[in-house]
Amino acid sequence: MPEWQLNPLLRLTWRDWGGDSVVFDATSGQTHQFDRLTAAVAACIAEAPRSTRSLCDQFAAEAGLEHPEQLLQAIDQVVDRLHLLGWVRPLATAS
Amino acid sequence: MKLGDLSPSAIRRRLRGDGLCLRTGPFNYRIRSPIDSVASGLGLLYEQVPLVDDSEYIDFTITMARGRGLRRWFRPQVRFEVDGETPFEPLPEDHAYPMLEWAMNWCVSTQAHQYLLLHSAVIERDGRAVIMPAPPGSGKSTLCAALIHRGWRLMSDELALINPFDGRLVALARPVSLKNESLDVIQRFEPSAVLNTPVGETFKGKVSHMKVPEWHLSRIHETASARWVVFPQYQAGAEARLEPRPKADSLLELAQNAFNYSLLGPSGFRTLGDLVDRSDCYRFTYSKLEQAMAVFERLRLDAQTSGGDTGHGHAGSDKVPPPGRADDGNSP
Amino acid sequence: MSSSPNDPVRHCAEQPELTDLHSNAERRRMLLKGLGKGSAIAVAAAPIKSMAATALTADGKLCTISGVASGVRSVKTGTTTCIGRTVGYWSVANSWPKNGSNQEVVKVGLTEYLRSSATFFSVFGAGSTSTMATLFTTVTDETHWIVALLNSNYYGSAFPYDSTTIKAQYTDVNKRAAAIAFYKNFMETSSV
Repeated sequence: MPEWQLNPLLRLTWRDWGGDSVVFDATSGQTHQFDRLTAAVAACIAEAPRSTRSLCDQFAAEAGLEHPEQLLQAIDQVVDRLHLLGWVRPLATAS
Repeated sequence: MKLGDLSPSAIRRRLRGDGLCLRTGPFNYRIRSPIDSVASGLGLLYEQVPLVDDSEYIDFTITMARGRGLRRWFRPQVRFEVDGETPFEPLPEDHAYPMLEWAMNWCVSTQAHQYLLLHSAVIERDGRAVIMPAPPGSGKSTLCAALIHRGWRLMSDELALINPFDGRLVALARPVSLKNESLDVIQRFEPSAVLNTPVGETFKGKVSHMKVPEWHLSRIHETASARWVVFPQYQAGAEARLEPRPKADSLLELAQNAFNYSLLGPSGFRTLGDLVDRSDCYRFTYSKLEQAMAVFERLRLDAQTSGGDTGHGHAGSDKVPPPGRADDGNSP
Repeated sequence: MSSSPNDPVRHCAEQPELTDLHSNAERRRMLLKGLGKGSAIAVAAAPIKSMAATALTADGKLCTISGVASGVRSVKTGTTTCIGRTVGYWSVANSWPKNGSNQEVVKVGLTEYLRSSATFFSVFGAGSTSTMATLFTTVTDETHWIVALLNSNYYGSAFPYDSTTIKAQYTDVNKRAAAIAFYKNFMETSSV
């Protein structure tokens, strides 16, 4: 399972309101609207490269979320979208 | 000196000569044209607008010229020229006045990047402004035209100018563009409204412009802070309904209605983010103008009662009270 | 203060400069706190909504924004004001093009789809199973995709993309968000 790293070229400015966040990336000039889960995943990966499993474990613990398999699926989907956006890239597979 | 201080022949003379220089909001225009409808339209709609001395800096020099060659006489055309360029295709000569208004908007929207520019109406009351972003077909102009005859000050019917340094809105207060059915609606709603002779068969249908009442122009230098962002949508037969719109969603929609959001980069994002922070954001569906007036009056009174202007969103939707004239006067 | 250039900024920090990891941790905790409080995952992963940075170029045509605020068309000096009709215009059934049997249709390539009975799914190969007629009663992105097809059918080569390309843009998840933002923001300018 790979760890995911934030694209070092990003220059981000965030605004968070309730369930949604809006972020501006000065490198691309693009503006995106993220739901809370996506913003949380981005915030965690920004701190350090993470695998989706470790994100799932952390979210379950800190946010008190249950149904870990559903949560992992949702996080996998988020990371896929961030990858398509060019925001994250995989590092070498962690053992 | 105001445009109304000139006689119609003096207006025509200046337009055919070195140009008629006037100031609308923060911009000085020099306008030249040999076409009579331009002169008569300006004379009617810009009567109270201040003239600008020749020695002052002119932001935009616009010429509404006659067509070239045969097009001066055969199916005559009008051409818009600015700074030696002709950015638009010619139109039939009787479209000259609407084309002038579009040209004046175009100058601002393509060049005035010292502001964040939104395609939006802006009205103000008690120092609090409503921004109404304007996708086509939203009914924004009709709503704006009605509200400014019920106590709201017109800041702009087409272009919101936001100063990125302090986030405040700057007024343009130019004539309100109305088209098709809106012309009849507004004339019934406010018989005293002064409208230019409509021009038919334009790209947008039948078009006219409504004169801005004088007291709005006397306060044109007053800026205002945004308090509400209302996304209007006319829907035939619908009861007036105001529904809170999430701020993140609203920011993206505002950015999509901006002319130069991308150009301004981080500054544009910060400006819109601050604006959305301090504003309550709504979708607004309506069909009857009197009901719409009541909704806006309720917004105004709620803001006065609460006193704070920190942009707290309202939970749940807002039902409109029984329709009624909220304000009989046009004065502030 | 050391900070990664990629650290998200706190909501209340107005500067584009990025905060240190301590603030990032606060933001992360704030986001996670709102995620869910118990049994269910409060947030399914919603699609990312994006706004393109600049107007797109297609086949040498650059659609300018001047068409949005005016009723005029730019001259062809290397730029073209691309126009298209609005959702409001196409929501009227009678506005649709008609086939030989006087039925309202939209075309992708040579294939016709009836407004009244063809589903969005049948036209685009994915998405809603509602009919195209139904999708104009409550406007969604799918409504705008149909409008893009209608505008392409109507304006022909004056529209930047043909119908087959529009369908391909929908199908390609890498292009879909930018394409729909373009159509919604720049290509629905005329209500008449």
